[in-house]
Amino acid sequence: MKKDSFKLADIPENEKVVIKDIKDQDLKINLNRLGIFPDIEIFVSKKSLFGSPIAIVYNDMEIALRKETAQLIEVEPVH
Amino acid sequence: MSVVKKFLLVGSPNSGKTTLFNALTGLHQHTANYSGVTTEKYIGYFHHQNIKIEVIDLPGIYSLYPTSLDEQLAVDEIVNTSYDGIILVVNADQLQKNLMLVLQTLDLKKPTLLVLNMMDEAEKKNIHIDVAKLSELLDVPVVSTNARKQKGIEQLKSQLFNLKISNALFTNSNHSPSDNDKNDYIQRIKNYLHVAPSSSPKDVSEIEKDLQHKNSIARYIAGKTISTHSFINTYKQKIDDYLTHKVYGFIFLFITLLIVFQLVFVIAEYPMEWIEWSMSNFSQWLNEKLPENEVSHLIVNGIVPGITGVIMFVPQIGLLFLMIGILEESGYMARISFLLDNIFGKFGLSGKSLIPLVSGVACAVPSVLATRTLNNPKEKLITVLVLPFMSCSARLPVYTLMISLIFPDNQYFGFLNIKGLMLLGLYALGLVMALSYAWIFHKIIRHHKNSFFFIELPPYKIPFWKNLIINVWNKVKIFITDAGKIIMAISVILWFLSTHTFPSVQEKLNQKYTGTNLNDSLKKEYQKELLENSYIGKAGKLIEPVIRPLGYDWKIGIALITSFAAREVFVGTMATLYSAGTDENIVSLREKINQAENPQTHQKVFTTATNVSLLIYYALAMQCISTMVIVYRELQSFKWMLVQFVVMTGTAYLLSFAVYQLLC
Repeated sequence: MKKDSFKLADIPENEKVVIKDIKDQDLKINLNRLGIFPDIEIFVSKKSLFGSPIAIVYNDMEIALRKETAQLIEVEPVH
Repeated sequence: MSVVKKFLLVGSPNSGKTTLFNALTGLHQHTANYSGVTTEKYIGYFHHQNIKIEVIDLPGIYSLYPTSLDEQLAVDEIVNTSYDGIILVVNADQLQKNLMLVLQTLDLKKPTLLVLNMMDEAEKKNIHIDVAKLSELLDVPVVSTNARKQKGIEQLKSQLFNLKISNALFTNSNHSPSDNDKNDYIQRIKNYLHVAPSSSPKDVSEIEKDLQHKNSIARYIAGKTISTHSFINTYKQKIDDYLTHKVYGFIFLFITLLIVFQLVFVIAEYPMEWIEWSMSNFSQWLNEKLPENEVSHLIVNGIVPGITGVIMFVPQIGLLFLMIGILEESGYMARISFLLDNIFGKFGLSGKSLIPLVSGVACAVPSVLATRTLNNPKEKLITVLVLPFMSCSARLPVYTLMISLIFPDNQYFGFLNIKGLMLLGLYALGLVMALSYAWIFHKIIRHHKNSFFFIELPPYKIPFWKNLIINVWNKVKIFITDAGKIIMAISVILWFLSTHTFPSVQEKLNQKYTGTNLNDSLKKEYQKELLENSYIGKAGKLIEPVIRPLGYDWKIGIALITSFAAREVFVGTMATLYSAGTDENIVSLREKINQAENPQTHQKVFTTATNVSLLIYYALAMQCISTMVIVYRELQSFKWMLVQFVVMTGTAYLLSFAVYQLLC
């Protein structure tokens, strides 16, 4: 049943993805605080050296997450 | 007696909250610390209609469910203290992303005023906000301002007495708002505060539901009130692509660092020299005017140098905080973190540790203060602990003297000057030690759970001069009032200990030197003997067995103790001990030191082994009371100050010992 889902950490720059699941409870609340919920569309704007941190844009806000954090976020590409 | 009304200024980071605070209160502000931590609490005042208004500028928050320490302090103040109202600040062009915080704050059912800051800027960006509709939907008064241009400030002030408790319902409960509900939300936040961030709250699903609910309301309100033809600013986007680029980004960062370093190190030198020059003229003038007695001596040699020692730091601190202010306000500091987080993270540091570490090459004192931009407590702690390993400018006179003893002439290794190479090696040694210990501390110090890391990359903007100046002024004020007193006191104590001795010894000295008119060389001889026999002199002899294995005699011991005031004092003390005149005549000092012999064995005191050992000792040891004071103040911990002292001086001792034993 599961469509191909990826980890946010593995998405290349300049891609749009939809958040499917956030694996960690604390992280979930943390992202919720910023208005980031499952099913919203985010844009991977840039990555730093060796892929960490990784910056995403949502709601006119750009935030950077560490790779370990981005590993916990499951996303689906937007076609 | 005037009535005082108290308001809290609440808003997200980068909302222009501080600009508004400065526009409201100007320089009528003072800082206090939140209990137990050094995060500053900014309190400002102004008068309106004969009523004294107190405004507290809280740290920026993203939500009432805090995750960082700063957020926790702010939320704690919001739910646990009493006040007359909340001034909720939102950057108009980011209203959408801030609506969640707005709804949460209104749910607290406190009298509130919503301020849309930078409204005209938003209009320029084609973001139009229906203010009347927004006020209606949220059920609170809304004013728009441009704090940078002082626009709308008077209107805001006049609205302060019309604050309203919103009756709109944003909680996901199905009954109508009652008194019960009013306290509900506050209670919920209090519960969350109580458990966060040490453990994860039990009732996360409640919070999740609440946030989700508010998010859908926020979307609804945004749809009704914001019309935007917003476009991504391609011009700014292009700049950002370069500044965060994996190659160009680092080149630009390097240039930025060079500029920061030049300002802190080179430009601050001029006012510092000027301060030194005028203070020494002042003390000379005092010396001539004051009668020759103990009190005058205390003033001229204890208090005036103490004051000089404090205000000497002011230009560096001011310039450093000006630079940091520019980096923070422009939005570039967040990009520095973005670029370096990965590399510095491996050492338990943050990208933001870069500026304090680099400024450490000028002076550790302002650099320790500069770690206040680090919001992760562990990263801040590690940065403060390793920062003094960086070779500061006070070590330079010691390096110069010792290197010139090892290599009296200019020698070349290929085309490289050996003295220059050695100097470079000492700077590198400091850096390597700083990083190694950062790594060790990183492995030892336990990590706080729930330290979910993110950096917001705010849009670039031109720093606002008024914010910069007020910020510099506040930081300088904190330094002078906080650390200044202690540095001053210690400099007086050191003066006393180096010019006083046991009464019996003093009497002998007096007998020897009274009667005849003291000429200059006899005076020098007296000063030398007084220092040798002073309390510090005795202490130097006392510690000789400890420092013997490093190749030092008791005279060097004296210099080690006096140079606790500042490392460069080493040179001055050496000059006194070897009666070589003042340190301006470094050549004669060098020769006298070079010829110094052990009276018993007639061997040279300053052999190459001793010299190298001293170099390493001064590069690594915590030989600076000002730094220790400021570290203690900043970490609010005697324990960590002690750990740092033991680590630095211990490492210095062991390495100097090893090197001396190898070379001698």
